[in-house]
Amino acid sequence: MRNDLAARRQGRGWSQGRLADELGVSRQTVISLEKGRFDPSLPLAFRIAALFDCRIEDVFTPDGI
Amino acid sequence: MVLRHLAAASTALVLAAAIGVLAGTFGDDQFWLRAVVFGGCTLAPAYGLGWLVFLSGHTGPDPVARPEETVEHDWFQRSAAGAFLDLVVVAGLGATALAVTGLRIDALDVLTALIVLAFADVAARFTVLRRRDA
Repeated sequence: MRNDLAARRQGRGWSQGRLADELGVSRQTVISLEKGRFDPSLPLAFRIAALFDCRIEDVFTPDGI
Repeated sequence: MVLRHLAAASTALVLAAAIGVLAGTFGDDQFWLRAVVFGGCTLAPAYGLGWLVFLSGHTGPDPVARPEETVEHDWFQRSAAGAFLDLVVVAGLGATALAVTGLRIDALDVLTALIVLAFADVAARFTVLRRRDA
């Protein structure tokens, strides 16, 4: 699943560690999320969307769409 | 934190001593030799149990708030699931081979081999996933 998490994070001037702290996950999780190699759980996806004040589908795009 | 370390160490000593005494009691002779050897061999795993109970979750600079949602947790779950299926396959093939050949193997050897295989399998799978997905 593709996402624009890195762009949104950089837009706020946050490091990956800062985003990880905000989400309550490890920095490695943020790295894997940004590379599109880890699909988040639904609760984590909701927290990401809430953190960036948008909808889940604004951040994440399923492959093939 | 000091109390937690003491509790973990006490757990290790008590558990290892108990296992040592049990091993010595069930042996036919050489009570102290069996007790010391078994107690010594189980000291480290027993401390691991004490660490898990009293210190796990209280060490490290900043444990994450939701470890179950991390990619590391996902890697471990996938590794454990894969290793379980591997164990079932190995156990099935082994049982078939023993049934066909009529060989008899000591149960302790088989169980030890399965435990070692499980640990190695999970570790290998976790390492592969980490290198591939990190």
